[in-house]
Amino acid sequence: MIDPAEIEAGTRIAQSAPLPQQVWLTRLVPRTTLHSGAILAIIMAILVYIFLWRTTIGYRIRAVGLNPHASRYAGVPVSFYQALSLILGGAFAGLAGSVEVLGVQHRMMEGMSGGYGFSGIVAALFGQLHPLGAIPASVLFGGLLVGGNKMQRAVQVPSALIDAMLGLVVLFVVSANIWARKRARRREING
Amino acid sequence: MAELFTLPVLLGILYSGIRLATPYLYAAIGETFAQRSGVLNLGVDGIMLMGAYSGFYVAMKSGNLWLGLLAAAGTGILMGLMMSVVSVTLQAQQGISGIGLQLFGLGLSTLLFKTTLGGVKSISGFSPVKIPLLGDIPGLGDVLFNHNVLVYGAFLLVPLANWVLNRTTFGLKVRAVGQNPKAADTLGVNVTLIRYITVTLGGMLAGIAGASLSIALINLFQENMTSGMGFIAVALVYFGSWRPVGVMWGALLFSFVNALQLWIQVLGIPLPSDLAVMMPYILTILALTFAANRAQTPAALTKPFERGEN
Repeated sequence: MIDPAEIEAGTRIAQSAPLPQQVWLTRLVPRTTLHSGAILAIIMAILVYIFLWRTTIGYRIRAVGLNPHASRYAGVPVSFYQALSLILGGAFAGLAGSVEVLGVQHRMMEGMSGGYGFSGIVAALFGQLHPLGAIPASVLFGGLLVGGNKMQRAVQVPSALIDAMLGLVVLFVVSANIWARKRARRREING
Repeated sequence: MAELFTLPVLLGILYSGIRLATPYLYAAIGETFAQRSGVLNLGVDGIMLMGAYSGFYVAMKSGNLWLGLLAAAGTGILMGLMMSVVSVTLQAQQGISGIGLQLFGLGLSTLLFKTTLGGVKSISGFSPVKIPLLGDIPGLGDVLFNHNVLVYGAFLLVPLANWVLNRTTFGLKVRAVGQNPKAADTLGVNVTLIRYITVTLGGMLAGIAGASLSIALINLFQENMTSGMGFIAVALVYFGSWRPVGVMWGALLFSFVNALQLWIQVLGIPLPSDLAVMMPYILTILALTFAANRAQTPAALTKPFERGEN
C-alpha cells in the first residue's frame, strides 16, 4: 500500500498513495479542512440519541449500564447488550478513522489517529455521556487541538501543552463530580 | 526459521527478554499494590513518562545517575499523590481519572522535553554489573547475572512485594481494604491512608520504571517513549491475578515474546515486521481472555470508599 513516490522522496512516515479525488468528502468552506464528515457526525449524534432514548434496544442498553443485576432480573440478556454496544462503539470508531482519511488526509499514513481516540473518551465524558452533549464537547476539544497547533506555529509553544491541559481538564471534571453527588444525596435525604 | 534455534540466539532472546521485562516489573508491581487496596490507576503510563523525563534530565544535568533515579522516584511520588487525591479523597471515577493522568503526563513530559532538551540526546546510563561467581557460569552466567543494577532491583522487588503483601501487617491491611473496606474501617484500619500509601508507592515504582528506560536500558529520552507500556503493565496485573509472582511470569512471558519478535526482525526472517510487533499484544489479549483468574479480583477494585455509605 505504500506510495512509491513517497519511498523515493524518503519522508520517513509510511503512507499510502493518495485516494482518487472522487471519493474525497466535499469541502464545505474553501481553503479550510471543514468537510461534509462534520455534518455526518452531527447527524450520527442525533441518530444515536434517538436510538438510545427512543427505541427498545437503546432502552435496554441504558438499563444494562445503570443496573446489570436488575436488568438480568427483568430478563434482559446483559452480555448480549454489552457486546452489542461494544460492537457499535467499534463501528463508530472505524467511522471516525474513515472520515479522517476521506475528508482530511486523503491517504492512509502511520500515526494518523494522533491520540484522537483518547481525546474521544475525554470528549464523551465532557458531554456527560450523552450523544448530543458530545457535539459541543467535541467542538471544544477540536478547537483546543487546532488552537494548540496554531500556537505552536505562531509563538513556538509546543502543542503538547494542550495535551497536558486536556489531562488536567479530565482530572478536574471527574473530581468535581463528588460535589454533584453530594448535592444529590442531600436532596434525597431532605426529600 | 532454523537460524532462530541456535544457542547464541536463544541466549540472546533470554537476555533481551530479561532486560525488557524490567520496566514492566516495576510498574506492574507498583500497580499490584494500588489494585490490591482497591484503586485502579490507569495513569501508570503518564507517570512512567514523567519519571523517564525527570530521571533523564537530572542525570544529564548532574552527571549522577542515582540522583536521576531519585528524581524519577520523587516525580512518581508526586504523580501518585495527585492520583490519590483525585481517586481516593475526591472519589473520581478511576478509569477516567487514570486516562486524565496519562494525558497529563504525556503532555507535560513532551512539553518539558521540547523546551528543555530540544532534541533527542543520549547519556551513558547504568552499566552492567557482573555478579561474582554466578556471572562466570558459562553461557547462562552472562545472560542472567550480567545486568545493570535496575534489572536486579526489579527482580528482587518481586519476592519483597510478595513478602510485604502476604506476611506483614501492612500487607494484610492493604488486602483487607481492597477486599472489604467497610469491614476494615470498622476494625480501625484507616482506609484512606492505606490507599494513599499504595497509590503513592505505585506512582514511585512507575517513576522508577520510566527511569529504568531512560537511564538504564535505552539511555535517552524521546517523546512518548513508553508507547503504552504503562497500559500493558496494568494488563499484566490482571494477568498475574494480583499476585507479584504471577505478575512476574506475565512480564517475562510478554517480554520474551517481544524479544523473540525483535530477533526475528534482526535475523531477517521473512515475517512482516508489523505482524511481528503485534505478537506480544495479541498474546496479551489472548492471555487476558483465557488465563486471567477473575475470582482473585479485589472485591472493592475501582469502588471509592465513603464512611456511612453502602
